Formats: sequence, structure tokens, C-alpha cells
Amino acid sequence: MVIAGLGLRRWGLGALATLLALGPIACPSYAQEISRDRADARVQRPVWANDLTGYWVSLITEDWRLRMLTPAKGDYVGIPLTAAAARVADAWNPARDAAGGQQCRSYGAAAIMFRPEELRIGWEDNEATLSVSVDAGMQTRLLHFGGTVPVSFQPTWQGYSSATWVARTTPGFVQSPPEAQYLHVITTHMLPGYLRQNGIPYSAQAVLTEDFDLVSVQGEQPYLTDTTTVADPLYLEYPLVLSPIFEKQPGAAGWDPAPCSSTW
Amino acid sequence: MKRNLLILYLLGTACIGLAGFPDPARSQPSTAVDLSGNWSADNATDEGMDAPDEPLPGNWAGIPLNASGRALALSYDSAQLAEPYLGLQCGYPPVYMMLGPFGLRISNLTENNNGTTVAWRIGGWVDRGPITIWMDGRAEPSAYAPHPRNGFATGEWVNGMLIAHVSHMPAGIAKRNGAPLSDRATMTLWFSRHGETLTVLARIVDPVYLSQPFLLTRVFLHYVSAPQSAVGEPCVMAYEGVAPDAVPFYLPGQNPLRNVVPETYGIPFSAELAGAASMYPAFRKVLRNEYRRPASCQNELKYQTFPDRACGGPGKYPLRGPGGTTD
Repeated sequence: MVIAGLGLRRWGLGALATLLALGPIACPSYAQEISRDRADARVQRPVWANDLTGYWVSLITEDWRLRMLTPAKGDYVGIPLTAAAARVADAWNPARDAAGGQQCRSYGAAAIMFRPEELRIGWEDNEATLSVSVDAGMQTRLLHFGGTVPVSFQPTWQGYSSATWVARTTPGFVQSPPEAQYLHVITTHMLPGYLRQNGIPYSAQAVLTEDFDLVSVQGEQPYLTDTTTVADPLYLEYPLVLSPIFEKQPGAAGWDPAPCSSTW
Repeated sequence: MKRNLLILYLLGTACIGLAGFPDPARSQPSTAVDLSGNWSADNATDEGMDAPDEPLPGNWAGIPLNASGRALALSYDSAQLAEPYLGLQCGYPPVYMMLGPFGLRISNLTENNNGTTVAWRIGGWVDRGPITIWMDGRAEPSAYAPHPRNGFATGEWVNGMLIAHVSHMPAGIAKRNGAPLSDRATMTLWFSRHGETLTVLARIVDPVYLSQPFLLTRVFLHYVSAPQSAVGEPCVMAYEGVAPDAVPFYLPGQNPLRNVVPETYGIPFSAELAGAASMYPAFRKVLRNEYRRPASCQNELKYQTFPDRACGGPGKYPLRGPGGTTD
């Protein structure tokens, strides 16, 4: 046999061991690719994360009258509200809210992304926090990467948002590259507020889950979609799922901060 | 020396061999995601909420209609749906996937020998044709090719999202109340799966009736408890009651339904015809002095088949999951 003639039988095991030991060194690109992929899956974020920064404007192409205007009292269309929620909504009194300093109730995290508005998105804290400022109601959301809700955190309109990058690939299959990840945010610790301007409530038990996607169109400004799911055991029969769209803006020309209003 | 040469030879061969092995991340699009299965529509946005009724006539705010689109929308009479020559009796074009209340049944067509996905297929329902999204790189047909009910679509995977480019659709609708789309309209769809939720973004371009792209989103929920029903009864276009001498169009200025939205919701009629400007938050400054919020929701809408749904309420929207609009 040729192999036997080369003496492989005699030192074959040694050669195989050498091959296995030196393989990753001798084939650096393949080895690095494997290790890089594994590392990326844990810590890297997609390149498009940097494209999130800047100004974004709402595109109000759906639910127009429910978003652009304050609907009439008793207009609950599309909301799977419970009987308890209907009782609260039927008692909606915007003048009382204004007098009581509660005019930001429809600007809380569970509802604010659905309003007509501009967003100003930027990184903070050495890129560990994504800041989402909203001109409508002059609110700011902070999306925290890593860590948990501080024990001392007190509920606010915007609550506490924990953010992660989630691989899109079906579990059990190959790990997707960072670009295929989406931004997943869970928000808790919200003050009770309104899902719509006309007093449809969400409670302090509500949990907001969001999945952000960035979509590029060649030669045009990108779009950002925010698939929002509000679950509230007290006021919703089942989770409310909506998906507002934002279009990136070249600058701050449309940024128009306005305080909260309970009537408009 | 021979021994060292042999080791180098073996290492080189191994490198070549490793490079030649099918890398699982490359043997298929590395960001492909399984979309197959039944997806229930989550009808929380207005198009779903309008089901099973049509959206109110004249409710065109938020749609970037140009002057031609507005004129055609104002001429719309819903009796057109009964006109066989318009071809809408047996189904809307693929845009209806973003407008109707129905879920999705998604499956992939595979090549027999190697199992690669040749196309994704989105099942149709009673008034919507199935869409086939070809993934095999085939070219788009000629601009003069026929425009079948389900159009022509090709797809690609980008960053874990399936992007479908749909063209060759017949003339159809941007909303089920007469907002038109021409047969030159195209639609790009992004399918983005987040676990058990599927978000679909549509970007519709129409050089005839839209002044700028029209964007819509729908959310679908993975639905495993029961298979969705098939397409249903075969559709046969037939006479549905429009008198032979009737033409279901309104002449300019003669649409009797143009005040329905202003009277019902206090929205100025000018807003309904504002086109692209009405899509942006700045338009609220126009509305602020003209909007008259009704004292309460008007539940008895005489032109709606299901008026009790007009204002919603506890138990009024079982539009998802068991008992909902899942088929």
C-alpha cells in the first residue's frame, strides 16, 4: 500500500495528533470565523444599530383618526378591553386629568410610540443605553442593555426598559450573523396610563414588549417598525398588538417638542 | 524531511477539505428563517377592525393619494364590487393581504433533489389569491406580460427578513373604500419573524394614483391549535343585482357619502382628501382648529352591517385566536 510504504502506519497517530493540534493555526481563516461567529452571537450587535441614531417621524397611515385626533368618549374600537377597563374609560374626564397634573397619562411607554411624533434616538452610557426622546409630550425612554431593574426603581410614565439583541434564526439551526438580530425590549414599572387619548386605561401591572426592525430601501431613508405588545391582566382581555412605522429624517427640522395635553 | 513534507501535505489537504465542506451557514442563506405555518391575523389596526364591513366611505386620510387618486376615490360606489368586468368579485390583488382581515398560511416549495426552497407560497382565502414568491432568481416578466390576480413576486433574504418584490398586479385598491391602485403599482414586503409573531411591512408604489410610497404593517401570530380552512367555495363571477343600465360610479361632486366621515367623527372633509400631507404629525396643526370631537361615540351607523362593533367594547373584538378571524 502506498500509505504503508510512506511509513504512515508507524507514526500515523502522531501525524493525526499534529494535524488536529495545528489545524486551527494552519487554517487561520476558518478557525477565526468559527470563534468570531460564536463571539458575535454573544456580544456583538448588528451594524444597523448605529443607523438607529438620528431623527424619525411617525407615518400615520393606519388608525388615522384614532392616532391623529382624540377620539370620542366611548370609542373603544380595536381595543380588547375588559369590563373593568370600560368602567374606567367611561369615567374619562380630561379636564380633571389636567387639573390633577395627570395630562401625561396618554404619553406613557405603552402608548407613546403610537402617537404622531418625532423620535430622537441616540446612544448613552458608553453605548449601554439607547435613549429615545419623543417630541410629543417631551418624554424620554431609556432602553437599558444588560442588567436588571434596580431594586430602588420607582414607577414612571416610561417605566424601566430592558433591551437585548435577539437572533432571528430558528432555534436549533445555525446561529445567525449579528445583522440578522432584532432589538427586543421589555418595559415594566410603568405608572398607570391611557392606551389612547380618550381614557382607555392600562394598569400598573401592564407589560410592554417591543421588537424593532430597521428596513432599508436603496436610495431612500430607512424605515423603523416597532411591533408593540401590551399585556395587562387587569384591563385587557388579551394582549394588544400594534406596529407603528417611522421614517428616518435627514435632520431636526421636524422636531417640535410640545408638552403633554389631556385634550389634544 | 519526507515526514515533514507529508505533514505539510496533509495539512494542506485538510485545509482544502475543510474549505470544501458544506458550511451549514452557507449552504443556505445564512439568515433564512422558517416562516412556514399558519399565522392568525391580529386585527387591532383599522383595516382589521373594519372587518367584516368596509371602511367608511371617504375615509382616505393617511393615504398619499394624488389628484387622480382622489378623483377616482370620490367616484367610487361599492356596487362596483358586483361588476364582473372589474374582476373584483373573485378576489383582490395581493395588496389585500395588508388590508383584509385574514391570516396567512405560509409554506415553502422545495426542489426535489436537494431540498432547497424554490419559492414561498402564501395561501389565499375566499377573496384573495395565493402569492408565490420565487426564490430561484428568475427574472421578472416583461412589462407587457399579463397581470394575473396574484401578480408576480420574487424574494430574497436580507438580515433575517424575507423581502418580496411584487409586480404585475391587476388594478386594485389601497383601501376597501375606493382608494385606488393602478396596474402599474408595485409592492415590496418585508417579513420579519420575532419568535411567534410575524410582522409584515408593505411599501406600495403607484405612479398613477399615489404621490409617494404608501406604507402599511400587519402583525400575525403563529397559530398551532387548529389548521386554517382552505380557500373555500370556488368563486364564479355572476350577476349580483346591479341593474343592466346602472353605472356604479358617482360623477364629480355628486357622491352622497362624502360627508359620512365628517358627520360621524367630526373630521373635516379637507383632511380626508389631503393626501400625503395627512400622513405626517405636522398635519395635526391643520386639524387642531377644525376638528370637532363628538360628545360620544356614535354606535348606530346605518350603513354598517355590524353597527354594534363600531365603538368596540368588552367582548366586541374576538378577532384573533379561537373564534376570531383566523381563516
